[in-house]
Amino acid sequence: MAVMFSVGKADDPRSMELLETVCRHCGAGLTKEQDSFCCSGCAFWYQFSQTKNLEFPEAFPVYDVQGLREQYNLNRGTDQSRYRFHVAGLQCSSCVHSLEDLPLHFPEILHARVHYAVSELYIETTSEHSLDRILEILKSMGYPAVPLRANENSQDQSQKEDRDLLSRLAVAGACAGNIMLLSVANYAGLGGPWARGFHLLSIVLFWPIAFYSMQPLYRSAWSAVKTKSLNMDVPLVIAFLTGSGLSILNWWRGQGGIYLDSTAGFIFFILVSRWFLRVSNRKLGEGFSQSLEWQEKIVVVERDKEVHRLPARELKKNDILFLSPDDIVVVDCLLQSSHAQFDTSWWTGEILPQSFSSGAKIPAGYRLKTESAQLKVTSEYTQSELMQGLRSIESDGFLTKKSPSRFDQAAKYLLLIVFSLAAVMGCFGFLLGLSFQESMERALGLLVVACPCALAFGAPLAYGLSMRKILQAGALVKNSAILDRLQECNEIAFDKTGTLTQGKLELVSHSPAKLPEWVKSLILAMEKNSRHPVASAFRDLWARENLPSVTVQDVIEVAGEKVYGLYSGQMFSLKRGLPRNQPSGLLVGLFQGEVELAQFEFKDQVRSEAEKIVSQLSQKYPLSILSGDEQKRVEEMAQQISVPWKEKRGGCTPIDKALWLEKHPNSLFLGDGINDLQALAKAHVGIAMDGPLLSTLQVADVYFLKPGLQPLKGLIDGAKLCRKLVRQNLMLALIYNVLAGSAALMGFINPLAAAVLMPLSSLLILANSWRAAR
Amino acid sequence: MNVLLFMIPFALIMGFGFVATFLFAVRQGQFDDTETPAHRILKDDPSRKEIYESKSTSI
Repeated sequence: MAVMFSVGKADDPRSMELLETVCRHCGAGLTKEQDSFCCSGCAFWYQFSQTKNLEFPEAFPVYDVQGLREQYNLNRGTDQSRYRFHVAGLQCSSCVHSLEDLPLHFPEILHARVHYAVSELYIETTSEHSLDRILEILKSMGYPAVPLRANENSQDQSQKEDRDLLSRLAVAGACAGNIMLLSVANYAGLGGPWARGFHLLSIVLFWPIAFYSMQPLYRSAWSAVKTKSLNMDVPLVIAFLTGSGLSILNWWRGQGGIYLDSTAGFIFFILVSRWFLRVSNRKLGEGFSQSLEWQEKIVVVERDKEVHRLPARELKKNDILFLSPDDIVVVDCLLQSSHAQFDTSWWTGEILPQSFSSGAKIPAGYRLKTESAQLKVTSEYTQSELMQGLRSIESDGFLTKKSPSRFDQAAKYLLLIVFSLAAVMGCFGFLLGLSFQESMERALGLLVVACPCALAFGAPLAYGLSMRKILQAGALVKNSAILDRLQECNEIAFDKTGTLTQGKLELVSHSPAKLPEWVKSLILAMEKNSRHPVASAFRDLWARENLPSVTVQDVIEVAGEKVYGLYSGQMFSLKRGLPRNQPSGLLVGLFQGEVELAQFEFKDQVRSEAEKIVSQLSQKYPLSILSGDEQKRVEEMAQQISVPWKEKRGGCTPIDKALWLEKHPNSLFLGDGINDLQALAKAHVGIAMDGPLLSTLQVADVYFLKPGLQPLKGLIDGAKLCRKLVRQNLMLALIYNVLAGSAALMGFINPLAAAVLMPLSSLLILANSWRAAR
Repeated sequence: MNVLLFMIPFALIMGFGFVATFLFAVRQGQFDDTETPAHRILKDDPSRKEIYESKSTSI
């Protein structure tokens, strides 16, 4: 039975019009964008439940050669192999289930585990398995995956640090909590030996905090001192040491002024805020070099009259490269075959395959669309135009100019002021005629009551919560400083193909208006093996209809021109349709002999949600289009989305786009991946709609995990919320600190009040943040 | 007040029992991924059961 509730699928569960339909497989609500299924995993398993067919095309051996596969195995030297993949296309709960159900159907897969937050998949297999087959399965399911090398241990490192910080945090929390409980009795007036005993117990409980939880802070403060610089941890450690030292001394001398509870609580809150920062700033793709994932891609080459299989990075000039269909060209080459077609969309944004003949220059990034091709390598892997482009991005320093978050720094300064004031009070209290003991106590009171944790806590909390909200909307933000930069953007530029449009052909109309079933079956049969975008458009549309299957004989495809074949004794062909009144899209006709039986019009449609979102944005920002496509088509599309466009530029090369963005320094740019890398890097905030996640994120600031423009709204709202929240939190902390701090300096605050006020201020900040981010 | 001599150590032991359990869980990796379990739990069990049954009968 279909469940009518959305399981986190529709972008906004409150708008009911989005929930008209549910996924046929899992019953999750569908957005208007989606047809029948919520994700490719659901489509895959639904098809399986109908056909019970789990056949996959024979995988081309890429990883299953020599010792290569072992380099990816995390469990080397055991019976079971374990692999870690980066998976693209994870977008909902059903994706998790789809992938984790793999062991039920494939005996060689023992265990599959998704790590959703970082788009990773762990798979354990029996010794009898093929890594290529697993990759093929994942690809057929709609989750193209890249295996990650086993020796890339940065992930383990960061996981170890995560666990370490969490353990220290837990110990600090438990100790601080118990110390506070014991202190309540003392504040409430307990005296005599019991009070002394309770304090002693506090000191014992304080031990793990001082010697275990504080370790990372000691280390970082010490390394700052060694390099004669100042970081947040130096004043924190000084405050901690004076606070705890003085408290223990006072206990020894049998005096009041024991602040262990506040000091412990303060350390606990500091560690919590560190944890928050760490989680919200979790860097994706850490440890990956500045390159695309292709350098390990195994290619087939002929070198010195011998055929080799080697990783792309070992390619040399004059090697002869053999490509099979859908292979990506990994280095710059010259075409040797007499004729071939390539998908050039990464470079040009053009979605129809382009024809090239012998001798043509084929840069890295093109994708073969015909049956085979032979190319002569003209550059090494690192010297291709694409790689040089990527390197120029890095060396031009675009990536480093991006400074840390302003509010974070504001919080740091406030914290420093509090600490300096306390230090001045402690050292120069005698000038006010106070005893040493009194001035020390006031200084400590200030530290305790002014609770730097409210300051240290406020900003990270706001960033963490906003980033989380944005992630739920489907946008992955690389780090928190980007939220500040988003606020500084005053202009938006869009790429066209794949950004404002779907980036693929879609059937928009056909004549006759009602097609007989046999025509559909015939076309599907003829286009069965074609890689032309028109063929996939037909398949997308009709493959799931229950059509009678027909046999077409002698199907021949003349790449990029036509497909023809024999059906019940007659010659049928699919080719460019006869032009009629002013078509704007691509016309394809089905011919019987020379008679046109049916005509189809294809277009790269504007995304259905684009108009609404773009017109909302146009009220606040000037908008422009930068496209590699022809000016004519850009104009046409600009008319479809009728907002006052500031600039409409067609025919832009990737460099043109980057130059435009240089001239407009505070602009937000949305592009669709590789061909926009330079532009994404130049933009104040670069948003990638698509592309290989890890490499794209090297240069882009934001990556949309959900298809379409929908996440953009969540992103901009989230950045706004963040700014508001940080301001509120800092304001609250500031007001509280000025009031309580001056009271403490004047000696009005007794230990009990301090102990109550301190957690109160933190709670205030917490409550305010949760309220706003709900 | 003497009851405190029993109560406080007992409370501490209990408290640190929990801390130890938490540390154990951290070391087991139970907190490495706090996002996916939330998705995992949304899965309807029957379908999985059906698949298991169909699989075991076919073998």
